[in-house]
Amino acid sequence: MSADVVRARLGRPAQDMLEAAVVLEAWTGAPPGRALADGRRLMSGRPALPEVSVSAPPAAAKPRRKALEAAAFGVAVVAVAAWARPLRDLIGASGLRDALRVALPLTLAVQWTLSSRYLSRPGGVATLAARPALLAAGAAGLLIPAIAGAGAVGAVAALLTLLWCGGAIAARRGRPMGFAAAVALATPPLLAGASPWLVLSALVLAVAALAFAAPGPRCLHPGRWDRALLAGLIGAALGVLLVGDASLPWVATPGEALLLAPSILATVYGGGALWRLPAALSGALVGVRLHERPGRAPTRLLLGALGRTVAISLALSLLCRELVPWPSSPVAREAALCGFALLGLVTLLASLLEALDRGGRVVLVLGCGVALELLIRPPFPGAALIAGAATCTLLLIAAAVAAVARPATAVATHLWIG
Amino acid sequence: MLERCPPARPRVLLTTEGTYPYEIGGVSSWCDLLVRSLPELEWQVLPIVAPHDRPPRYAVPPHARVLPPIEIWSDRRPARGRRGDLRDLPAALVRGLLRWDGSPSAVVDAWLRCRRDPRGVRRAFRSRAGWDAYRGALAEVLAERVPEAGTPPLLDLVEAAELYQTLYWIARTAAVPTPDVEVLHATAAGWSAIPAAVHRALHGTPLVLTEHGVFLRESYLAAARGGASPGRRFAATRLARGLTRTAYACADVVAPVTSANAHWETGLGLDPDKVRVITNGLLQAPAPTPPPGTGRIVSVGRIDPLKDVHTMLRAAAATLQLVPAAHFAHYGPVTPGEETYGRSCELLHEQLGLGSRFRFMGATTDPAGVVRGADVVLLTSISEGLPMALLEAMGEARPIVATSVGGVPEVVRGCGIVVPPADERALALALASLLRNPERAARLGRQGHARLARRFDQADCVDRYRDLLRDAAAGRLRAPAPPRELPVAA
Repeated sequence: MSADVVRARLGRPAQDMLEAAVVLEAWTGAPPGRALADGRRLMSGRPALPEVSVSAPPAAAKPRRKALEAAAFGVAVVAVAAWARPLRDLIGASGLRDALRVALPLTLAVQWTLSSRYLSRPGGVATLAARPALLAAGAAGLLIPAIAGAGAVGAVAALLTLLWCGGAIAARRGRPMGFAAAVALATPPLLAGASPWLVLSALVLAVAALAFAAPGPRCLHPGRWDRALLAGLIGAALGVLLVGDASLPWVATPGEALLLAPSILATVYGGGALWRLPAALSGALVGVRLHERPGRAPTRLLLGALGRTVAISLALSLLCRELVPWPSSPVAREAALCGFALLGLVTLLASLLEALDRGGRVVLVLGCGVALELLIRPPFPGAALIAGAATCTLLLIAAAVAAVARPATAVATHLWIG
Repeated sequence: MLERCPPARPRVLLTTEGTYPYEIGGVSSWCDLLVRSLPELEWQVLPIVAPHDRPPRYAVPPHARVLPPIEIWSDRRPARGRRGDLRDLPAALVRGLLRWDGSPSAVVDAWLRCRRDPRGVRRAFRSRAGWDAYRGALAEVLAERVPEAGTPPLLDLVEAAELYQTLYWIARTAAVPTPDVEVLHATAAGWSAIPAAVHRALHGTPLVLTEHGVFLRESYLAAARGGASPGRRFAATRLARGLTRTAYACADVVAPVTSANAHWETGLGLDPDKVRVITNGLLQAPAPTPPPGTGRIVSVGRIDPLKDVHTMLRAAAATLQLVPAAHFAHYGPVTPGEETYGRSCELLHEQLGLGSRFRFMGATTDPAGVVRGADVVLLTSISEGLPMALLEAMGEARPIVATSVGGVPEVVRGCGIVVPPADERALALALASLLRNPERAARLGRQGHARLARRFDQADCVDRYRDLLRDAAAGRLRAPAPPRELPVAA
């Protein structure tokens, strides 16, 4: 009778004597002593075969709007490339080069820091928006030293940094097209001779409004500062890798800026594909017993995403080679395209490893790459970038494959233990 | 050697989990009563909570202070301290907590190592060696064959990793430093007992454990009704069992709120000499008012599977067939996280066609007032300790119809009707018999009012805790185990 009650209530036999006792007490009113004795009696038979437990597959990550993001970045790159002439007129070619060499690493450092601490969390933007003093101090901390130290060049660098950081926040909030539209709308007045200071300042304010308007509910806790600072170091190292090759002319003309477009678009695509990797890692463990080896789906996903990123980057680079006018040697153009493509892969892999909480290794590898790039005497323009980025790519691919080849270890020891 | 003088006002560390001072509820009300009523003690409240940004719901009096909560499942890093080699920690915890015959002293030893080397905890759980050793130990646990323990299921790696993460948070909880006090008071045999058990092992401070429900029984009920996979169910219940056994082993006194809970506790292996039942109490109510005589049946409690609201609704439908003039009012909110159950209750209400004859009234801040407006008070729970709703009913001299679970029969004796749980027919018959016989109902109500004064007086409850905690502070409980010498002050 007791066994029937337990089976009827649970829809299965009891797991152990305690479960049987609890059911008997809760649904028959048996006093605890009798329920425990009956529970023990119910379990006294021959041990059953072990039940095979299979956990529910993890929820699929919400797909990112890759096409929109890619289109927005494309529009933004083309538009910013078009600003080369008015900005060169304002601060000179070398001034613009210097401004970009400062703005790009700084932008990447700030974007990676913000992403780790705020943007990668639901409600993170709202949490950031709720700290206007921090935002104002950050902007002032960027603008004042830049203007004091480098005058107009510093001011351009600071404004571009603020603009691109605002763009990243807007894109993360699902407003990439709004950012692209703002940048595109600012281009005609700039080309028509409007004051670049006025246009850039207005654009920064518009993008800030886009990034922080109607922020919604906040997250409980932002990410840890130590991890955010490590992410910032990764961003800065990527930026230095990008601009560290002195043999590349760096945006004397719009065409040079456009060379970044293939790798940016390919990286946006690759980032979207790798977005699914954490879910794929835990998904690979579903139904796998303790002594068994999980399948290779995460490794296949990683290598497939990297392969497709390379293919897209290659195709777009070939297109760019045909379409983009280039004043200096074609070798430099092809080397730049190759270097940027490799850098795109480095960014992708660094982002993946940071998400798997292996930021320390990434910083180490990027440090090696930057050192190589800065120390090497390039045999042709762009060779230093290629050498640094290729070294980082190889080392980071090895680290990423090693991480995803053991999905159980990656999930248990890093993804789920912060 | 200098001897430390005990402070004039003994200090008590009250550890809570998911209750006081951040959540409203029975345990929180009890904590609030105790803290407010015993100003001769200096209270330090250590809450264990999931991350949230809610302010405390209770203001603590001047003789108490709330310590920074222990946040589990948060991003925060462990406290600073030494970083030793604890790579065998995950394996030690899974053996100690999940084996059917796991050793509570081995668990406490592992927790002490966490306290000594707080930074080593994260390092151990993030190491491949820690994970590999854990998998080996878990495989041993799953290979156990003890007849009464049933056959453990074969967990998959997701379930194994989830359990690993939970053990990490248990270790993190053990690693949190606790202040210097004379008495430890844990409010459940689960997570809240962890810091107390570690502190006791370090300093020999006496540990009092109050169980309102029975943590283990409630964990089993939650797992049984949750529809989780066999692996998750096994991990949750075995972990609860491991925590409970460790808490019972470490406690110097266990104070259940009803002798029914004491039977569970001793049945789970607790030394009967440690048990001291202290029933909850209620302030003496003024002279009761007569019932309205309108056939109104009131129930007070959260909308939660443990309250078995489905049976309540079916019992209401059956009662309305017998007494068409009856009408029901249920006061209480849906338990956070049980929204699906809440919707199922609304659906069943609709299916049964109860309409306005059964109304969900939402939360109430005046349980005595709503009970005063009843002719009969109803309770259909499948798990209870000592329900305050029944004491409220007795305070207002209202007869009770309730299910015979936990401490309910002990409370309701002579002042209501107790029926088996989940028996809607029996509930309906009991309700109908009281509605049709108001004189009997009134007599039971009066008996309840008198019984409340005799057995469940709030002042008596507070006095008994005062005595217990004073005895503990003065070292008059059973001799505690000698403290362990550790180089780090906890």
